[in-house]
Amino acid sequence: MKKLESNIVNMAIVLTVIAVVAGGLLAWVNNVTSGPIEQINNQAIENGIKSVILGDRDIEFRVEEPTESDGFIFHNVYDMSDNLIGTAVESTDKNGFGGALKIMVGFDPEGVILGYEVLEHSETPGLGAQANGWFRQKSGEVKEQSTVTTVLLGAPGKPGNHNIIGMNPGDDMMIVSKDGGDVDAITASTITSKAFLRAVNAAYKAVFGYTAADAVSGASSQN
Amino acid sequence: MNYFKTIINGIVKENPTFVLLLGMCPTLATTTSAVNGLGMGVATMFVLICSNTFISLLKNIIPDGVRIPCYIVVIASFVTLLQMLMQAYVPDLYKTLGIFIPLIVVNCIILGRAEAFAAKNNVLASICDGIGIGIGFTLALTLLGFVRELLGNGVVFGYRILPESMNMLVFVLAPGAFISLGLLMAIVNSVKNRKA
Amino acid sequence: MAQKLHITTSPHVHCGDTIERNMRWVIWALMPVLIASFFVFGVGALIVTATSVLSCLFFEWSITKFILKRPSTLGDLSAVITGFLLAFNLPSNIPLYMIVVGALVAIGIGKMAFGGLGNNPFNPALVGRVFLLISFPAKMTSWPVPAGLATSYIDAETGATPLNLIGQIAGGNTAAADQLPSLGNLFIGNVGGCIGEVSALLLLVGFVVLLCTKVITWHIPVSILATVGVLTGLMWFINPVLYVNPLYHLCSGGLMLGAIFMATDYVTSPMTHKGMVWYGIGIGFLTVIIRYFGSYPEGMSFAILLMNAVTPLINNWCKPKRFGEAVK
Repeated sequence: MKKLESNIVNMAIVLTVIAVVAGGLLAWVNNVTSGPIEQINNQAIENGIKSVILGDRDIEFRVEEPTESDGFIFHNVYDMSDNLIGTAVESTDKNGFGGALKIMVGFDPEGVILGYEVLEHSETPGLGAQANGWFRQKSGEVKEQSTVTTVLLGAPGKPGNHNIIGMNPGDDMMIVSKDGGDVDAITASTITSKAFLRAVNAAYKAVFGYTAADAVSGASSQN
Repeated sequence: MNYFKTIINGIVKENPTFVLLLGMCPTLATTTSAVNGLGMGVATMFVLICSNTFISLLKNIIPDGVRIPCYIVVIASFVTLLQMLMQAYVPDLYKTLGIFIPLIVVNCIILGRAEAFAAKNNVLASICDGIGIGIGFTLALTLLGFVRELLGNGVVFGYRILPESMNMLVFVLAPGAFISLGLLMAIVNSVKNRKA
Repeated sequence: MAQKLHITTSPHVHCGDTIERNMRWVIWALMPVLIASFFVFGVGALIVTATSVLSCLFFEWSITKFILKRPSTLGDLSAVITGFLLAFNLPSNIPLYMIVVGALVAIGIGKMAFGGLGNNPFNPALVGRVFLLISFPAKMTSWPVPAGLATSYIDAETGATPLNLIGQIAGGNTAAADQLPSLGNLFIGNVGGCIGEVSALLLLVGFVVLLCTKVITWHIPVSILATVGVLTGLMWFINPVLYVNPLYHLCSGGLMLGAIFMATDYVTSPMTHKGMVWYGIGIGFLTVIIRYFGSYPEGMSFAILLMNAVTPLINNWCKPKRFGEAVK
C-alpha cells in the first residue's frame, strides 16, 4: 500500500478518525473501570475509618453519612445499639515539609485518640514519611550492646515518648517536646512532626472546641 | 530481519537507560524501590508495545505532515487506558507511581521508538522492538531501584538485608538517584569495554 | 645516553614550592584545632580523625592500584588533608562505619571519579561530608556538648549548638537567646559542634601560619568573613531581637574552618585575586541565606560546594589581561 499524501484533506480526515476511535475506546474503558475505581476509593475511606476508630477491636459498626465544615470531614461511628463509639476526622495541615499533610484521626466521645492514618503526604522518604508509624510506636526498651558495636555502628535508638494513641489533646500538650510539649518529634523531621500535631490539634478543636496546646502553640504555629 | 536480534538489541546494544539515555525523568524519579522500578518498567513496556504495534499498522495511512500528532494521540490513549486499568485493578501500585503514569506520554523512549523504528518497519519487528526496549528499560529500572532500595532502606523487595540504622537516606532522595545511575553506567561501560 | 644539552622553556628557576610542601603546612596549621578538640570533646575527636585519615589513605591507595592502575599518589599528602577536613566536619561521637562511607565517597566519588587531584570540581572532603549529612541526618546533627577529657565515646551528652539556637531565635523563639554561650566561650571554643569548628581562636592561628608560609593568600577567607559580617550585621541592625550579633555568626559553626581551610583549596577555587574575592563574597552570601532561611542550621558546606560549581565561570570572567593588550 502506498503512503497517503500529505494534503490538507487527508491529514484532517486521518487525524480526526484516529482521535475519534481513540476517544471512543477511552470512553468504553472508562465506563468499565469507573465502577471498580469508585468501589476502591470508598473501600479505602471505610478501611481508614475502621482502623482509626476500631483498631484491632472486631465489632459491628455503622458509619453516618460524612459531614463537612471548614475543610474538616467528620465521620461519626456508632455501634449496633446506636451508641457513639467515636468520630473520625479528616484534617489537613498545609505546612508540612514537602507541602500539605492530610491525616485521619479518630477520637472517642471523651476526646481520647483511638488511632490515626496519614492519608496524603509529600514528606521526605525515610524522614518525615515515617509519620504513619512513628506516632503510634510504643516506647521500646534500650537494647544492651557492647562498646565495640556502639563505636562502630552507633548507639541504639533511645526510647522516646511519641505514641499519641491514648492521649487526649484536651488534657495533654500535643506539641513537640522541644517546644515544651508531650510528644517527641521524629528524629531530624521537626517540621513534619509539628505539621502532624497541628493537624491532630485542629481536628480535636473542630470537634471539642479547645485544646490544651492552645495557650502555647499560638505563637509557634504561625511560622 | 532477525526478530530475536531486534529484542536483544533493545536490551543490550541500545539499552534505553544505559546507552541511549532516554526517559531519564521516570528513571530517576520512580526508582526509589525495586518494585516501583519494575512497575514503571512494565507499564512503559505495555504502552511501548501497543503504540509500536498500532503505529506500525497505521504507518501507511498516516500522512507525514500529521504523523507526530497522530503518534501522540495513539500513545496518550494507551497511557490513559493503562492509568484507568491500574487504578481499578492494582490500586497500590497506582498510588506509588502516581504522577508518573500520565508522564509516560512524554517519555522520549516511546515517541523515539515510534519515529525511529515502528514508522519504518513491519508490525512483527515493531512488536519485537517494543519488547526488547521494554525489557531493557524494565531491567535497568529494576536494577537501579534495587541498588537504591538496598543502600537507602536496607531492604530488597521488602526483605530486610541491612539493619535500619545503616540506611543511607541520600540514595532514596534525588541526589542518590543521580549518583547511583552514574555509577551503574560506569560499571556497564567498563564491562562493555573489557569485552570489546 | 646522557643528555648533554638541556632545552626547556621558562621558568628556569624553581622556588622549591611543591604540592607536598603546601599540604604539609596545611596539616601543621590544622594541628592546634585538633588538640583543642581533644580537650573539648575527649578521645572521640582523636578516634574520628584517625579513622577518617586512615580510610582516606586506604581508598586513595586501593583506587589508584586496583581501578585506575596508576602509580600511587599517597605521597602528595592530599588524601591526608581530605581525611583531616572530613573528620573536622563530623561530630565526635559518630559511628565509625559512617566515617568510612564518607571517606569512600570523598575520595572515590569526590576526587578519583574525576581523575584525581587537580581534576576534581568539588572539594572532596565536603562532598563526603554533605553525602553523610543527607544520608544520616540524625547522627550528623546531634553534636556532643563539651565535657572535657572525660567524655566517653558512647554516651556523650548531645545538645543544641549555637547555630541551632540562632536559627530558633530567628524563627521567633526569642527565649532561646538565654541559652547562647558567651562570646568569649564561643571564641575560645568551649561549645558544642563538629570536631574542627570549635575554636575560632585556634583556627585563626592556623590562618596566620598559612599566610606566613604563603600557602594561601588572604583574599578568599577575608572576603567570606567580611560578607558574613556585613550581612548579619545589617540584619542585626534592622531587628536585634530576632537576629543575633554578627560576632556570633563569625565565631560559630564551620564558618572559620570553611573559610580558611576548605574554600581555599587550590583546585576548586578561582585562580585570580579578583576572582577569589567574588568567590568569597558568593560563599558568604549563600552561607547567611542558608543559615537564616534554609532548613539546615549550617550552610557553609553547601555554600562552598555551590561556589565550587561556579568557579570555572568566575575564572572565565576574571581573566587577567595579556601583557601589552590594549586597555578597553
